[in-house]
Amino acid sequence: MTAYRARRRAVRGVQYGILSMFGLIMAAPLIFVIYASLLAPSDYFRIVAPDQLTLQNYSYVFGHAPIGRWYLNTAFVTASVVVGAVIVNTLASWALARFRFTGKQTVFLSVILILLVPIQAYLIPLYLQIVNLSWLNTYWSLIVPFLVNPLLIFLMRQYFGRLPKDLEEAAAIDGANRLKVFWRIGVPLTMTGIATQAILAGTWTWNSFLVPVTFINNPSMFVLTLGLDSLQAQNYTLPTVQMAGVVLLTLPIVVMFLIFQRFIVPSMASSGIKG
Amino acid sequence: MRRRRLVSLSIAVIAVTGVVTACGSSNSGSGSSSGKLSGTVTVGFAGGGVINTYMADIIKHAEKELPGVTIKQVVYPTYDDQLNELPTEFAAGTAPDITLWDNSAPVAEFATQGAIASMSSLIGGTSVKLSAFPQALVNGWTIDGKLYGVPSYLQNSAYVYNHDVLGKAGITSYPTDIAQVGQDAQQVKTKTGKPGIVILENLFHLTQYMLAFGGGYNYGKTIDSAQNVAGLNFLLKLFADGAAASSEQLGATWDGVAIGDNQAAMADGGPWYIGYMSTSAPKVPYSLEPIPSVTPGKSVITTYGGAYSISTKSSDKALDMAVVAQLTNAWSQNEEITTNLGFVPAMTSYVADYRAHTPEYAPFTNAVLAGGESLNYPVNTTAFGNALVTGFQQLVAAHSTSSAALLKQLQKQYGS
Amino acid sequence: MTATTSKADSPQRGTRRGLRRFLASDNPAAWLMLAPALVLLAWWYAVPIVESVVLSFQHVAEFNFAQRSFAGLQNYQQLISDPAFRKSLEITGAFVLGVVPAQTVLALLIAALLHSISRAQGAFRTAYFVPYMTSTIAITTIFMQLFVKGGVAATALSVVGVPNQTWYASTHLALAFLVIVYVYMFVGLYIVIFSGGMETIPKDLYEAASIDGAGPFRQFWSVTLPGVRPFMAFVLVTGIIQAVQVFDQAYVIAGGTVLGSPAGATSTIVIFIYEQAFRLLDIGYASAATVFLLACMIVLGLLSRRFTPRGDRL
Repeated sequence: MTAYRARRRAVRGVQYGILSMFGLIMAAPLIFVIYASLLAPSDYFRIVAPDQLTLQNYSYVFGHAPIGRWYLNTAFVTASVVVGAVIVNTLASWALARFRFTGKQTVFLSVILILLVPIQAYLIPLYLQIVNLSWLNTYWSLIVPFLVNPLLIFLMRQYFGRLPKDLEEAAAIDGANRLKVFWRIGVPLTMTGIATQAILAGTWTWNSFLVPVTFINNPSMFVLTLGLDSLQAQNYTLPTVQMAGVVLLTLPIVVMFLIFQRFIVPSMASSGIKG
Repeated sequence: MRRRRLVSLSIAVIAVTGVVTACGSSNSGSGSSSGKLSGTVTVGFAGGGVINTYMADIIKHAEKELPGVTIKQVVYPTYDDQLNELPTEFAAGTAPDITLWDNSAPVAEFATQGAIASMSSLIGGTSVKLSAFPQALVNGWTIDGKLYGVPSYLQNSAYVYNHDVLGKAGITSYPTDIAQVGQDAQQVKTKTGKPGIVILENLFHLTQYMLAFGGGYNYGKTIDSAQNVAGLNFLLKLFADGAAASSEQLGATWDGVAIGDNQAAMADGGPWYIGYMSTSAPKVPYSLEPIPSVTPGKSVITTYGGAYSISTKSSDKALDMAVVAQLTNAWSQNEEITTNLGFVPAMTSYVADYRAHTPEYAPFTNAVLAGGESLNYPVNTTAFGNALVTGFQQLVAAHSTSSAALLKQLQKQYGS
Repeated sequence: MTATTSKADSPQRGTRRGLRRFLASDNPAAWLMLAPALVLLAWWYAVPIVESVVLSFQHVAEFNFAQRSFAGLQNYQQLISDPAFRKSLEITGAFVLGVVPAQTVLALLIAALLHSISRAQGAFRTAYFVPYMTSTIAITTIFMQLFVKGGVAATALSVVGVPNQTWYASTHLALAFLVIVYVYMFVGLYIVIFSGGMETIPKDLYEAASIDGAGPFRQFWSVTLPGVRPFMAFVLVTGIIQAVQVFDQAYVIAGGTVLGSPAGATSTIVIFIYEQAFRLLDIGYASAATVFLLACMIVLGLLSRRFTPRGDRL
């Protein structure tokens, strides 16, 4: 018995060891960036004692740039996209995964087809569309085109497809209609999928640069990526300030991830739906 | 080298354009039909930091001088972003009426393809005197005999010497000609193991070496000239011997970082080093001098700079021209000095003031005022630049020392 | 609830019987739920993409989108004989072959490990996701420092025979560098996907397996792997599509020099398209490249469907 326990402990040790090492490798750049952002500019690339760490880079950023405005813009756009996209994508993928209807394969294949085209390829026609709507320099241009996402529809469809096929029948016997099945049973069972959607849509929107730089050239509408790009360019002589900029951009989504990833848990579905 | 400027000097005041006003040009002026100018004009520039202060100042001043005229700012996050966005904006008709940029950008392309408007006919009615600016600068903005920009600030290229690294290699005096530069670079390599020359491989920097050898493109007429070939061969030989390296190879984002980190001895640079070195590498002894040429004792300097251009799709070009005249007048030139913009004023009368303000600039003022080569890239500048740089990198990778074939092919493809 | 159909019953929308059947079936609810997504997809994806396809058959003036002329297949003819385009396809292909197996296997193994422990899963997941969340410029720049000649990684790898030089400045190693940075950034995403997918596997399957005497490897093989099948499909398909579309990392590597640096070694297909559309201002040509890419992907997709077991097909 004890030999078994000891072996199990050893295996556990190896597992945690591997995961921790990997975790360290993955987190190292951010740790380095955070560390560098706390250095005085003259200390860059050196290891200093903890009492030499300083927040001066951050006060520099806050003092030299309208970063509050950038945060506001980015937060508003990201929140809008996340909420909207989760709703639109989840509805669509439920239909694709659970219903039988004419045109189902066509719709799904179209979604995949759209996925195949990189944004750089259709950015110019998209830009012209935005111009025609007079949406340049507006929040609309940053939100509306991103309320649907083919990748997330694909993902959610895989999640919904995992649920037992007899789910609808069981509910129908109880008298619930299609939409009720979705809302009362489907959604709670796939909080994992929804949380994943929120994380992904949030990360993409928060970090997006190509689209905002094309649609926005009014400083008061700058999102964080644009503003920090401006800051980096001006302060290319101060790498520690640049590091502070990276931290200010990354930390909020790390926090967002920490919050949402709690929902990536064994859902009720994994305990099976038994009669 | 646009990214390396301390200030992208984007004088283009463009206020919030898009939201309220109609798409496309927001120029809604009534023009000069009544004799008095009025309307709205958008000015685009790359913002952030000192530039914002500078532009705000001169715009306010201009609006005061031109009552009835509103000047709105269109601000890009960085100069690189501005250059990336401008082509699409010009093509879609959403470019600002006035753009501030410099002619190390493919200005000729925009001019000959009809994106920016010729000012030759518009300039007459204004107070702009081209004679107030260095001829080389005006030449740089004149394509096919027509003027496409009114100068605002000056840039020039120079040669940078890192005295620490040179000292370690036993070199204590400046090279007298470009051949000596090559020898010094070899010596640095042998004595210290570091490359003597570092270069950021792009069109601008490669061109400096061709100009040092007396070459140039003359808008595409002389791409494969013997002097150009000599200039590139000079670099290729040093690369093959390890006496020259690209900033990429040294892990530097641009040549200044390599010089500041004492990883190389010399580079072609310019006044943008002044700000960078004082903040990032204050203890490194360096100096900026005019670029050595093939003739001992004589040097080469490239003069180029920023200017305001007018978009062809702008609806009231006379109004634009009046605003441009205000943004480039003596007052605005003086502002460049007082706001510590970091750029050299374009008007020759103020260059001396700048020298007093920034002594590191002293070695150039005479050369800049006296003459200077213009950057006269072939008209299809972007495509040419890509092909040149890619071709050069291929030659370096193959350890080749002859660029004749490459330049000949480029002459065929992009020559005029 | 499913209607049985015989030849006499075949659905005819025109008839009342057909209409009733339509309304009683899944169709109305399905289309209702799909409506917002379809409208948005059509408006913001389909329309610009179709516009792109149209542009591929046109010559557009450099600085004037309004000035277009019909060009037939000229852009395509030029494309086929363009060595830079062919090279970009090769480079992209090599890149995908380097990236997809690496990121898929690595993500699967790490997610499986994660699945088998009970504590600190959230912390680990967060750490693994960090590179995906951090700005591409920051990560790529840090890696450039590591892989510079004499840098930490370049020196370490020179032990296994790779010459100690600046990876991303070498025409031989630049693409390998790109693969490394890309896998580093994306593996976290696929770990999260697999991890979430593994959470949906019913726990009692594992209990049953261990009662049958299966050890961890056996359980992984017979319970976990089959359980994540739909997510494996997702990771593979998405992984390939995303890898084909690599752009940001290559853009950062180019830095102040020409895109595709050095000497076109990192000129992937999207870099090519971007260069054509935004730098060389030939949107018609860029669009032709896009359509060509699309066609290649569709062919690949159809081929792969043939070889996928029926149950796994999307």
